[in-house]
Amino acid sequence: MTQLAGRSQAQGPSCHDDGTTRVAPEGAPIVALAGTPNVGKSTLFNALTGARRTMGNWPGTTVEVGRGLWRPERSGTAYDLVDLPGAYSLDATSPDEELTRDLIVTPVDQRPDVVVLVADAAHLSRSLYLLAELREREQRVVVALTMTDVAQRRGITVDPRRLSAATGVPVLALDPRARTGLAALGHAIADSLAHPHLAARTRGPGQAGDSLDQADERFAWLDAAVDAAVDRHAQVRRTWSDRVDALVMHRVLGPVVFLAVMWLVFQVTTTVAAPLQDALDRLFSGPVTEVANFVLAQAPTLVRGLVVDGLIAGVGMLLTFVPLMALMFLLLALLEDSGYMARAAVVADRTMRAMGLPGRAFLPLIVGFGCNVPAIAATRVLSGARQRVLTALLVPFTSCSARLTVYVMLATTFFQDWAGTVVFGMYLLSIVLVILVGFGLRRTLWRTMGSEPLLLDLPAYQRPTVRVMSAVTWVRLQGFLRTAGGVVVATVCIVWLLQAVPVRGGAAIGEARIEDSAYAAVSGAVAPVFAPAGFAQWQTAGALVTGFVAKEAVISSWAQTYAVSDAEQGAGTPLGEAIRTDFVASSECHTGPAVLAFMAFLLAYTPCVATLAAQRREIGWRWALFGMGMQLAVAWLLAVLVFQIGKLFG
Amino acid sequence: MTATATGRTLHSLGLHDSARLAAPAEPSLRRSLARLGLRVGAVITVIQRTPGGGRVVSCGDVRVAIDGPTARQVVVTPDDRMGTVAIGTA
Repeated sequence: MTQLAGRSQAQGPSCHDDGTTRVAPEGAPIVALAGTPNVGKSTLFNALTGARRTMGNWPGTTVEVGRGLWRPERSGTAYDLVDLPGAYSLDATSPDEELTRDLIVTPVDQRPDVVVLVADAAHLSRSLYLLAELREREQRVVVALTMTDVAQRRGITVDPRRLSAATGVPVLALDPRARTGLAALGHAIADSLAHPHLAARTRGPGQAGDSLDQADERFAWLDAAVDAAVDRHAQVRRTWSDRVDALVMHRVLGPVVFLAVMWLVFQVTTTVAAPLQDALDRLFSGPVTEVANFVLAQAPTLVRGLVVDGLIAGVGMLLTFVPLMALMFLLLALLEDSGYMARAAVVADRTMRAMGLPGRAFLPLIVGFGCNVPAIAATRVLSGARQRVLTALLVPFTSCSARLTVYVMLATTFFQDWAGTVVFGMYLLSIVLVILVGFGLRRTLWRTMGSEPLLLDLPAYQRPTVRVMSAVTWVRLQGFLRTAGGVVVATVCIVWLLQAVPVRGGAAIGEARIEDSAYAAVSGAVAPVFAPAGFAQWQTAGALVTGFVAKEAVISSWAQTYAVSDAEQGAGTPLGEAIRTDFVASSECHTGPAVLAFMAFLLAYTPCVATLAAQRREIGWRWALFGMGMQLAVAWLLAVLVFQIGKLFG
Repeated sequence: MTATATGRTLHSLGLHDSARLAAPAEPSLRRSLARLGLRVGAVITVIQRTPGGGRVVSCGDVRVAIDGPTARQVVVTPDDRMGTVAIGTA
């Protein structure tokens, strides 16, 4: 059983969650945030700890357990705050709920000292089922009512005092988005800790019955509590959310709106981001490089090479993609925070079902378009182990934003006027691959798998807040830079060293021609495999070798390769032209098909080592390695197919 | 206008029809519906048909999307209450 073991010695969340999370000092009381998905738990966690976490208007977004330090204002107490995965009840039906149950229903000495049940005032009865269960245990509970403004607008007033009297636990209203009521929560928790555990609620009739009888008894208890605390001033009306839904989930128009939204997202990330990228590129390849060269004029060749051609050429290139990534993450945050993502899952349900996956599997798959690593973790929202394995194997075929950087670079170089359309086409290809591979796996390995019903709560649309969106964007951007940064710096250094170490020609380390280097030898050994796909140049194969580590490194490895060879040739050829020359040579002038084949290969093979590591964590090495082999096979076949068919059309 | 259910499953209800949720044969489905706020005896209204044959139902302020095959398993009985206000008609 999972426990909150090691009081206040939290295991740090993985690097893909929230590296900013701070851990409370030894012996600090543990306060756990629990509640149904989508009640603002993560927003409250972020407001309390300042450790910003990815949050979205989507059921099941919080999969990993977040942990951080909370010091209420004007209070010397420090709390170890735990953000539990969303759960409707302790009667677990998914790994998320299992984890929450295990963390709450642990031996007494390991339990959280206080559970803060975050409850949606607009959907109170649904939010309080967990409270009914918690009250059957000796557990300190404080109820935090959120969304009271939404409830008010719908004519629902919840009186915290009356709710407190009916349930026997402290109740207070707060707004994590506006950061109001947080100090009162601190006081309520301090009060609660000053008193012994609350006596467990004695269940009424039905106690001895089966689980359905128990559930009915709990519903009766919470209905009585809700009736005592809630005043309804208006009848339910058709809301403007319903009006919007009539369009975006329309049987015919819904899929059209879905595709249009996706198309718009990628148009913005290609056309708006391009000039910003160009400006940053000019900054790094111009002034920054010149200054570094000037400063390191007297330094040994090895040091100067590593700094200028390794760090600045590689990491500098990575940084030029910050505007693109920021826009991409901002748009994803907009879709999540507004509530559209949940509708997209409904629209995509039939497609998912064709692959034997529930509409809910759309969540990890759509997150995969941002980054595959959190997407693999998000497969936990699925309750069936086989569905989780299948989804985790499909996620790598979703085209993550790191791959987007390569598409954009190649598309703007080779298909100028059609760049946006080509990039959009890559995303369509990605969707087709997910469907086809999913269909193939289902027909072979998962023939007997049933499918989960789609029962999805549709939160009311809400105006996305700048604070939430910018926080999410910033966290994801940091995550991108942190993951990509570390891996890329290591890769770039290894690649530069491979380039600097000669395997023939007898030149000194750091002075070898790139074609005489270990890098060329390794890439050259791999390259012939890609001859039928039209990109058998060692420089191109080398970029794919680096891309196995991280897709962010593909362009930086090219930049490095050509910077070296440009220097040898003595010409200041731009990166794009250098790549063009290689593609022209390797494809016998069928440049377009070769570039498209390369992009297809790039889309389908292993996204990065971090994804592989996440797969290993979720589905084990056996499946992770199976997935890697499958992706390489699919990628190669697809690239050969694209090139050979493309050649026929010129 | 508030229509009254004549069919026996959620899937057979027309748009804007209201009906009372009966206990589904499958206990896990009953539990799944209840945890989203759709409890046996509650009046639900079909407010949308979605791509793929699914339904969106409202129950008070709750909106839940249900796929087509599941909608065929959700048993309903006619809503015999007079004056029930269906979504879209208030």
